[in-house]
Amino acid sequence: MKSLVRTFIAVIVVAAGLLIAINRLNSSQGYSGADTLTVYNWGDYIDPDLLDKFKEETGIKVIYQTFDSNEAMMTKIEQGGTTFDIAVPSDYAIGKMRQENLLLPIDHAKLPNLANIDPRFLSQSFDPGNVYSIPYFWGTVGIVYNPELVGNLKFDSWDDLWDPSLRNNILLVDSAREVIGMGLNSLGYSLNDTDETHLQEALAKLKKLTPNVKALVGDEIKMLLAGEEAAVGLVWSGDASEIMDENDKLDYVIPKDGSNLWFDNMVIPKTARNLDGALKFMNFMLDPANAAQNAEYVGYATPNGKAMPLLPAEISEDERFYPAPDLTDKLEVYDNLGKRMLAHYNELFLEFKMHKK
Amino acid sequence: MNAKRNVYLAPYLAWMALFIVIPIALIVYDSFFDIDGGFTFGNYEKFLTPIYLKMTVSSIWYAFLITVFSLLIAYPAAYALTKMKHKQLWLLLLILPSWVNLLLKVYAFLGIFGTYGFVNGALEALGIGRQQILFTDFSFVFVSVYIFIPFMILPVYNALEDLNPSLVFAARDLGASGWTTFRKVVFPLTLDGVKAGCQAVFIPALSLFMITRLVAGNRVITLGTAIEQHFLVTQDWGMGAAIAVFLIIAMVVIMLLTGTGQAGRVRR
Amino acid sequence: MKAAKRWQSAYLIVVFAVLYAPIAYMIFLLVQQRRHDARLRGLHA
Repeated sequence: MKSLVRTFIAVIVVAAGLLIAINRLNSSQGYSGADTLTVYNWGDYIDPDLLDKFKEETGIKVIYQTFDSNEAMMTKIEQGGTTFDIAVPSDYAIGKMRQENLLLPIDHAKLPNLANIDPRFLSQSFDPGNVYSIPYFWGTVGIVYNPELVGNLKFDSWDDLWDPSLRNNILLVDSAREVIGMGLNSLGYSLNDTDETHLQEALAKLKKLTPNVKALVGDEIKMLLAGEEAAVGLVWSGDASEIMDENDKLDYVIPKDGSNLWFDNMVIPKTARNLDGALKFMNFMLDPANAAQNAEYVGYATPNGKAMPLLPAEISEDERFYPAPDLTDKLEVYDNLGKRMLAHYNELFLEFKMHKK
Repeated sequence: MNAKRNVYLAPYLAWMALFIVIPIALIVYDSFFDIDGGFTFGNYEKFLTPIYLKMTVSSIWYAFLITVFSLLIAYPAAYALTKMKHKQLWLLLLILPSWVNLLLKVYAFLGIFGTYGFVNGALEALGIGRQQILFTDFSFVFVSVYIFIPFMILPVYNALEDLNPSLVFAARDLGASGWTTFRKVVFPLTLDGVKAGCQAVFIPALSLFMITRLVAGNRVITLGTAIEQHFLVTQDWGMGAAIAVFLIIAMVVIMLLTGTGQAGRVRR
Repeated sequence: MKAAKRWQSAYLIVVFAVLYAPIAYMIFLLVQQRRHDARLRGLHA
């Protein structure tokens, strides 16, 4: 018996050793030279065919590496030792990276295709004048719901979430800014509001939502909503399109009283080696045909105005993911509220979570 | 002789200093700084506000429930194990599940307890109808007990194995009933194992965090959840560290209360 | 004495069944996924 245990342990040790070796091998790749370009992007966030096309056009080979959170990406770039030429952070992360001098300014003269971007999506608060970042994809925060299970609620307004018929039937993303922002928006305040009385009002209102909230979850929300664990969910539009791909009974809506508008933008981190290649890559991705192809593959909304006519009508005319300008005007980008305010938002969020039914 | 022993001791002492003493010292140090890096006692003041005190009480309450249920299930199991023929094989089978990744097991419970999951399917087939199991206190305690059971069974099993069977025979010969024998002889003599098991369960249960989100849907908030949030989301390391210091103090208190006993025997 | 022994075995079996249930469920899902993938590949071929 003892020898059996020993054998088991030996097997485990060998397996662990192999795993470490594989990891080492994988991470030691990815040098950048004049003919290679290292792109650091979210997983499955680009059409691989475009990378081949880019190589054909420019002779530059793209090494594609992925991350799964802005925080992880920032830490890696901050620590150095990497040679990422392009990264694709979200709006608030760009604000932070700009403050911490992790980004290089972008030479607009080398990006003739920048003119293709819809001006609605340029010069946002996190990067005025787009000195450091170029829009890649954008989206919103809204509600995924199952029309069969919610009666005649249409979710034109956030207040519909408070409807007593939804008791124990709502899933929320476990994220302070989205949930507190929703509370503020439902009261008609800005989701960047820092006024203490407004925040307390929002918290009091959110506490009244507790009976309807089944759970606050992370990434599992996609799996749970697609599996009809609850009728309604507060999600990002990108997640929503994935959920609806899996379960076509569900629908997505952005409440009319305002919501969040988010961006994932291309930036050149200070670790870049192939600056010229990075600019070429940005210009390549801004090309209308390429942007349209990418948007069709990934399923997120492209900020490229000239690409819109090239998309199939069922995508470009889908108001759920390409809302009309009168709605996007009401959407707000998250301002960088500073560490202290963010901590306060999280404290309020914690208090909301602690509130029992 | 003594000098030689010190040489052998050195690597262990270095290890302990590097991976136990220094990290704890760093946590204590961090807990005195606010979010902007200024020196403060504010984190501890904040810990004494109702919201964190409520969280502390609920953490202790859930950890207590988890420990009690683990013990109730594990003690008979350990007892039955000592009576089995192929003890070592059973023991190995018991340890095997803890080699499977924790996250994987917890995710499996999402499928098992879900509205259209395995258990609800069975309930409906029995005519009871679908119930909400996922995201309840029950599912949280159940899954936590599930995770901790091996850590409770092992020390209790060891204590039972060490028990001299002739003591039990003597008690029976002297006319004690089965229950009296257990109460007066077996249980008191295995108390050290029970204490060690309770330590091995209660202390990590105080700071559970992943399960609170996955299985309890953040409807149960423990100190572990708060620490995770402060370190990963808010980046208010000081506050996170202050809560961690509290947990370390709680741990020492529990160690002292339950006596050090055989605590060194079973450790994760 | 024999009855007690039977109870003990039964109890242990229940504990072990619960202990292995999630792992068995995970393997079941994995096999199902494999089959599903194989079917899809068959459809495309």
